[in-house]
Amino acid sequence: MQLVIGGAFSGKRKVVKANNGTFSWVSAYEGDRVGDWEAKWENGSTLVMEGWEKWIASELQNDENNDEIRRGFKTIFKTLLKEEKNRNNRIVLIMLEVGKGIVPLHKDERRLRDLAGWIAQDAVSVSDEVDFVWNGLSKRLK
Amino acid sequence: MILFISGGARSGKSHFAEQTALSFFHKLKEKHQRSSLYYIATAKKSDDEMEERIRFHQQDRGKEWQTVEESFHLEPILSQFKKGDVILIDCLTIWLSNVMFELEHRMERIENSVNRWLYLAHEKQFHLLIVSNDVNEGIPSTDEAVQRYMYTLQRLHQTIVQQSDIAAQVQAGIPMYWKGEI
Repeated sequence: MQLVIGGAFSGKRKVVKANNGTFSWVSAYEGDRVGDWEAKWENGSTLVMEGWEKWIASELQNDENNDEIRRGFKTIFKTLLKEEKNRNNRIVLIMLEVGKGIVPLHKDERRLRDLAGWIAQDAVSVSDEVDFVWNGLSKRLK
Repeated sequence: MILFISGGARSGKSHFAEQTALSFFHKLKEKHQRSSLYYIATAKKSDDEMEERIRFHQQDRGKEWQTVEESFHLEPILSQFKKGDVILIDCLTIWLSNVMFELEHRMERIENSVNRWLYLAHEKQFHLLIVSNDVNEGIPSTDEAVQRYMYTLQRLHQTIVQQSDIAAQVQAGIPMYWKGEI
């Protein structure tokens, strides 16, 4: 599993697409839900999942605490890892860096920012490759 | 040569860009090549805070510099520079907000302008250093104008980085090189 992380409009997709092969995209920006990967992942392709901050934000609407939400995403990562092995294909998670600006004024935004950071750390720990993207260039962090 | 230098607020990016420009200039002079050193300030003296920032940056620079103040139309200025000149544009973010929100230029026109700057640097063989800001790594704004600004700025960054020989991100005054190295 690979994690590609970077700021908004930093060229993350471009970096992912620079690799050869076919991709199955599951995108929150296109209205996909996190669970849609099962239906969308075509055989022999790399699964790309993007828009995690949106999926996390939608979890905030439910009546769960932060730990529960974080655990939920950890479970998703575990399931994905297992399926990646089974299928002998690759998974790329694209995440948005949201932690380097000013502290948001709204409570919900602060909560989203915290959770996005924690969940990114969890994604890092299960990924064998981590790349940070800056203006269309990437650096391998792990 | 084209250099792109970015970083957070008060990260020391301007200082690093100035030192780099100055050392280019001195190296050319040592080799007895003609060179002039220009500072293009895009900020307007619009209020006390900006005046203080400008004073702060001016004190930092030495007498080798010639300062040009231009908030909008950089192309006519750049087209006058000659081979070996060293030009520092500080900074792209302010220029973009000037042309986007005051002149209301559309994205295509803005991209064309920046492409012209880069073209002129190649064509006339002067050294161009462009300073900008990393503003895209916080919680995304829900404001439409801010989103449009950020999207445009990031597109410009990618265009410039693609054509740069050196791209550096400054943190606490220290450059981290994403492309090339000095």
